[in-house]
Amino acid sequence: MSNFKKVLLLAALLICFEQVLGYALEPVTFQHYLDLGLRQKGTEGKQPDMVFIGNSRVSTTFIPSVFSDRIEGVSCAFNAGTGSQGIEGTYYYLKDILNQYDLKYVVFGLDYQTFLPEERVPTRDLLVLKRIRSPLIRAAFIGDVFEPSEYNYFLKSYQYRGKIGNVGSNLKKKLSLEYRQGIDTGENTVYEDLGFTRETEVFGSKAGIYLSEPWTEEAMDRDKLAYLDRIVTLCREKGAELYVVSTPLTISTVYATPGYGACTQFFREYLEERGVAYDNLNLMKERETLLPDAKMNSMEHVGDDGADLVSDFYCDVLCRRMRQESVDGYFYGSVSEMKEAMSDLVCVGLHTEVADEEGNREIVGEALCKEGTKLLYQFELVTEKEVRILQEYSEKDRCPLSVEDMVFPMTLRIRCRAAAGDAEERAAEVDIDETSWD
Amino acid sequence: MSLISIQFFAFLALLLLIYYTIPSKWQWLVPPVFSILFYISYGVGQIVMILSAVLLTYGLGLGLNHVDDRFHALRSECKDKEARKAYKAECTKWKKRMMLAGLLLNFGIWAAFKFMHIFSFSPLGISIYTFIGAGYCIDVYRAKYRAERNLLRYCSFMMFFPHIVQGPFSRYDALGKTLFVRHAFDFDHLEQGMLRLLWGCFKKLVIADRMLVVINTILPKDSGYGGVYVFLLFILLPIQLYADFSGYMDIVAGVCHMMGITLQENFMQPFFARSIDEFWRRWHITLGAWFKDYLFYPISMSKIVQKFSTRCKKICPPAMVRLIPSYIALFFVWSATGLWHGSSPNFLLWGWINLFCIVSSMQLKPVYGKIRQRLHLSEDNKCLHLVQMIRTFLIFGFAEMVSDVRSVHGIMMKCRSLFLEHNWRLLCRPMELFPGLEGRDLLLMAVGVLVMLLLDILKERGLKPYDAVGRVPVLPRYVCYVILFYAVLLFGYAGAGAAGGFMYEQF
Repeated sequence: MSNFKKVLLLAALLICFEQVLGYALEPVTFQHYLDLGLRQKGTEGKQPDMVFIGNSRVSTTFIPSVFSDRIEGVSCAFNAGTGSQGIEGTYYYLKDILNQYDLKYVVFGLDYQTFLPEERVPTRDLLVLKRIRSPLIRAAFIGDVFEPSEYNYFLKSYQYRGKIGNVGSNLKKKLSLEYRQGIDTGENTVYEDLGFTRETEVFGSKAGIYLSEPWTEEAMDRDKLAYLDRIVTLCREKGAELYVVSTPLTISTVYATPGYGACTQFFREYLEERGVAYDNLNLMKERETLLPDAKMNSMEHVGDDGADLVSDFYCDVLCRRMRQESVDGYFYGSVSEMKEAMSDLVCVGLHTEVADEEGNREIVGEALCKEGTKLLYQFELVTEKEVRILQEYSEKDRCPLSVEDMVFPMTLRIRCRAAAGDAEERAAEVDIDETSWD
Repeated sequence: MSLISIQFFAFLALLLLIYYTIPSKWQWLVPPVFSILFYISYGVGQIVMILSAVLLTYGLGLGLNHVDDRFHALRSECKDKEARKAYKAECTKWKKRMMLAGLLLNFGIWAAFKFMHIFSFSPLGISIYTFIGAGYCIDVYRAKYRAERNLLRYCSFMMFFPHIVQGPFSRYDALGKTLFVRHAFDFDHLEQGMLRLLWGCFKKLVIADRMLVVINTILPKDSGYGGVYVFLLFILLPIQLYADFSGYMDIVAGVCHMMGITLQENFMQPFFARSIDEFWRRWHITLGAWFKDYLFYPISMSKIVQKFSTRCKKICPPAMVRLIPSYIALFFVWSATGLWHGSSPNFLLWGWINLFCIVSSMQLKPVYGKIRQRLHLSEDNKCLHLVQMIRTFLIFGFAEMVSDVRSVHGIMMKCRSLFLEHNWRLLCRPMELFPGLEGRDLLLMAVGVLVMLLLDILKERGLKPYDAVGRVPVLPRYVCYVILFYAVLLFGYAGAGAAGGFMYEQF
């Protein structure tokens, strides 16, 4: 065999192996279902004219059909949110989408962590790379963001080599009828339609206190911020109206993360200078009753019917914005104003600490409240058989938990109320089993 | 630039493209140019260091030749034999002085970086090119060959990037033969080179890096991993080091083979050695050969040592007197070998453990012979060979543990726990015995080691694996290549884009 034929044979074998291994190893992603959904819209004669873009906070919050049903001139909206997507990926993905479709509206989900310096994670950008259709935009994204030492990740066999154990379930799913029909059989994260994924689980009584990274203007990565400008310019050039929105976080995060108020103000002013409307859904009025932390799936994702509520709410806001009407009535003016309007006692949480070497522990209560509010705590231990009060309401925010008291599995509960006034009681729980304290 | 990285493979592809397309009279320039680029990838300062060593040894070689040439040119002018003898003695004295000054400077720079840590950075490959350059100068001094007059050719040899990071310790006459001749494109060479490179990557990424996880979990701890874990170290350390080091050698040999250049082999199935002495003729062969040629023989055959040995006749039995020069030379060799690896006492201790084993083996050789006769065992007895191989393997493993545990206290604790901690039942629970690895990793490691061992068995029986593979029909052969490639890609522990460093890079 001639050398040239040998080279061709080797290349052919490499490509075949790569295709087979890539197919077997690559997990099912929601992109497949999104493509099917968009193709179906195409057959109905509807071209997408509205897109939601950002990370998983976007993909789990905005239901496209709510917007396409209610906004005039929008026949097809879709949610292009991609898990862990960074700002660079958002820019290039949006560029690709604008290349494919004549969009009227773009909604970008902004969260400030996107603009903080972070360790490079190539797999995060690979999810987005796969969604980009245009080879030129792909090449630009690769050249701009990826480092040469990451190029081996472009081989699916390498990227997913840690998923060898999932080959069986992958293939089963990919070869199933549901997959071909676009029906997702996920458990807690269920794909619904046109890019929207619903997180079915919620905190319920297990909501605690969650803090995010403190924000300061100096800490922001200016290179990343430059991409926000590129997104603004891109939409302007393509004639798409851009709206920027921050999706809900847990109330405790908004309340207690240092710098969150200043961050909101910063982005409001930054985008106003560029003629872009910005709404922070964390400042929505009546937030405590409309979307309490019990309805959140995690610190940054709404759960279950939280997405319906937020989509309805934001759709109302957008409709007003499109009609050039004021939306001030929907939001508090600032985080301080929001805190003023909230209850004296906002939320509680608890954790345990080791008390001594014999295994005794201490339950420590935490609470977010207005300054000057005196709080009373009650600690309970809940098992299958009984609910035992370990410490009645008192000002003590710590309660000993001896080894003798521990019964696995158990639930530790804290109740908290303001000492004065008629502020509602708050409660939080944590489930404990034998492995919880390993 | 790591040898297992996208950047290196792109570098290699470019090198081969230019190597085989450039006009053949300029072909020999391609390796030095790419060697310089390779150095620059580690920092421009690296170039300065190696160029200094190149110029020093180049100048020394020319200087030695100059003295020899002057002697030969002027000896005819000497009136008689006595005058010629005197003149020769004068020239030899000058040569010795030059040689001494040059070697002192050469090794002095090395020692300054290695032991005194005068500067904050460590020059890439200093332990390799210092010794290669010294060997070259000694060969020129001994008139084994003429010094290289062409500075570029000399640079090409000294700075040759495949051997500069971890060896082998190339000799100028051996490497020069193949480095400067024109190499026509040979597809078979390319194929065999690629196969060898892939196999090296497999050993490094699938076996060595995986095993290192277990070693790094057990080794640093003075307590918690005693007893059977210490015994496990005796087994894992040699295998991990072999997979890592020989993997590197396969990669560089593969790279050279693709260019048609032959590099000296550094390993010859070392775990088949039946004594420590034999082991070191199969492991890191070129380092052992360097010390043998440039340290052992000069010391053992020096007048001082011979005189000392003669004086010992009065107090030692004749059989031992014959061996005294060897013992003295071995002491220096193994002390130097230990120091070559590192400046801390445990490396010296490691060297002396090897020395002790070799010397006692030499001394006890008659005793072993008698025991064998009593047990009616012939020299070719396979069981005896197996026992000897296992013994040698475990001794090497113990010595490696001594060099890797960086404190004497740690060594003592580990040896103590070997006998006092009774956790040998863990042998029945492999998952607990290999901390840090999951079931799949353990299986991959075991399969990798078995494949490596099988290949070594075949090589020990005389099989040339790369030639044998070449005889397989094209399609199944290429399928095997692709399977090996994907085995490295899928199962490589650290990954081709982010491989950990090679063990011997630190030396």
